[in-house]
Amino acid sequence: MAKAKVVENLHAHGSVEENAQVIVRTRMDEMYAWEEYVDNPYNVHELHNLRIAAKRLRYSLEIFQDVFPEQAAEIIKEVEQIQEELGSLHDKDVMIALIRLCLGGQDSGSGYEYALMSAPQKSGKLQFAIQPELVAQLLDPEAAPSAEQRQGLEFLLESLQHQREEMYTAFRQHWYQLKGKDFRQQVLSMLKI
Amino acid sequence: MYCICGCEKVGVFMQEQYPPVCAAVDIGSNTIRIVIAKCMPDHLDILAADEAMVRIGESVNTDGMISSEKRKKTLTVLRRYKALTRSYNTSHFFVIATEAIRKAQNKDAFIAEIKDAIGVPVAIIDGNIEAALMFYGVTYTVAQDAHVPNSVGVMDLGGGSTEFVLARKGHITGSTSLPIGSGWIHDRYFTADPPTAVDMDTASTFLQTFLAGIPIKRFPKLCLVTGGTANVLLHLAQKALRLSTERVTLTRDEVLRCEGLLCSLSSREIAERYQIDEKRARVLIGGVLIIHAVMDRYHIAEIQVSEHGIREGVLIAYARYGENWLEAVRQQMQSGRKISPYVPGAEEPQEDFVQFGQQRIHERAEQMFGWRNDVLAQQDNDIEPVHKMRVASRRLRALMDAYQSIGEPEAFKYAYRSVKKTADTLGNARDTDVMIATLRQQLEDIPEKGHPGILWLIDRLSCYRDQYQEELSAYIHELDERELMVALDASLAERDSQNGKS
Repeated sequence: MAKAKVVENLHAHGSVEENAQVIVRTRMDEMYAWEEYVDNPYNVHELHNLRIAAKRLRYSLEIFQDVFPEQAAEIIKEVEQIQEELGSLHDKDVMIALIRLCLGGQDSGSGYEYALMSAPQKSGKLQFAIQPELVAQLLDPEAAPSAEQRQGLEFLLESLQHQREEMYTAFRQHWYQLKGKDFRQQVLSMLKI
Repeated sequence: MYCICGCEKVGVFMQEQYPPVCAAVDIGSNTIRIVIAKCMPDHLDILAADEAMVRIGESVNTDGMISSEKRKKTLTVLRRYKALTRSYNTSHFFVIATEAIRKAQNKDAFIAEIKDAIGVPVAIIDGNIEAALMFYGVTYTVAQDAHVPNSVGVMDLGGGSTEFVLARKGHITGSTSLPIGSGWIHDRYFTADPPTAVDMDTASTFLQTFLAGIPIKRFPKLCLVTGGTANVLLHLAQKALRLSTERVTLTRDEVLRCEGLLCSLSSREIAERYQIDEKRARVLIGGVLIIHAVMDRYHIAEIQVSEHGIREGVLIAYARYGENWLEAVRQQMQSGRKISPYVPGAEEPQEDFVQFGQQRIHERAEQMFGWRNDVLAQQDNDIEPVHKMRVASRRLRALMDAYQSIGEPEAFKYAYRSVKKTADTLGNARDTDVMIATLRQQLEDIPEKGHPGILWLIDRLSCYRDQYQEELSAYIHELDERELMVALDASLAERDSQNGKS
């Protein structure tokens, strides 16, 4: 997860509105920095970062909502929807990774398990989203899934992948809908940024 | 530089060569006090002051009436004070009464009795007027201090009520009057002298609950405390803890040490050892508990004790507004919560960016901690408290992200790390809860063929979640709310220049 950018050029004793504009501008730029990854559904990491950036933008808008025009509420709704769409996508990605882990782990033995357990120590893209203790629970040989359960997991995996595709399509459609009405510029103008 | 009271500099007596000498008496629940002073709009030259412990509130708390014994004692004290005013040749003599008289059923007869005895009418003032007068009285002495911060909070701890006034840049921004005081706590909760551990627990629990519900969300760092209890507590701390007699501040630790002393010794022993009036010593612990509870509620590290109060406020108000001083103060207080009454024509001060941040950070941290007990209770496997506390921690973190460049680096770093760790710890639990909930939904959405796999996965995740709950509970339990609140306050301290632009 990308760290929040430190917002510079704030005036400690300036007005709330003037500073809120600087903050929201920064968070908007952060969100749109991930725009180039929107078209590839397999940019899991980048889409997750886009989601986090959208959440930061939403929280910033909510913090300073009182000093912005009333229309800020509409902007918050749109950003919240983007965030939720990407959130559902991320939940599916985590679940898919989890099931792959279970199926792969049972198939591949201790070497695979070791690689998964050591992944959280790595940084950036290599970082895995699942806690080592959870990996241990899922790969516990004494609780290994039966053939019927494995079959169920395979079926679930397929179903989740299908659901993910639909979710991605809905998100992308929404994103382009906003782009079509130049949402970014609309926000900047509405908030007088 | 502005006056901390926001006072109108040209008062009714400003042009006179010799300020008038006036007297003000305050009939409180515990004590009756007088001050005689040469009165100017922003200064009092105090000539005499005295107090007598009558504890009118004791009889009012018992049966709602001022007993004949208390009435007699009060009249004796007032006659003595009347004589004192004559010896100073005062031009005006004001008598006001507060909570105990306010709620006494026989107050009308009693104030008539006082008027007959000393020839002076008694003004029974309500809690809001009391708060405003107290604010005048307490703050006029610190007005000239160049280091006074923008925000000031004043607390007048009386025997039967406690008044809070908050001010920013000399303007009162909020006030509230609570019907609890040192005598009230003593009479209601203490069954022995010294009080038992159960008495202390019950009173502390009551105060925590009561203070959690009052409308003041945040208290400024400069907390001025006045009233007899606060001053006697300072005296006790100076004697018992060997503090300098010049000191007018008390840290939370010093307040706690005094509380411990008052729980261990009887009021007679306290009175004898530390030269304190025994009646005052008896109710002191009630007041100390209130101070302790307020310091904890608002994460106040230190209080500053003022010997001035409502009496001085009456004299300052009279010097500023003349004969209609009481009506002038009443009108100001009636004009709303956010008032800027003391400098006619002045604009209400605007909240700047740092002040906005301080307020919101504090509120969000309180929201986060508001879910703590529910997370620890984990009743009926309810997953909502973890979710709510996590959302609150993330909102707090987002706010801190916004303010990072103008924060005090060290305090900010410490507070930020703590908030992040809290968010991450809760996040891990929440993510697992979401996965389990999603899988349960899948049981309804996909054909039965997939169910054995889903149920297996739910079982594995639930085992992990149960195991993680111990880690989560231990972390949340250990999370030091007070320490984090102090760090959060320090991370956006008011100052003249910042890392960004000032």
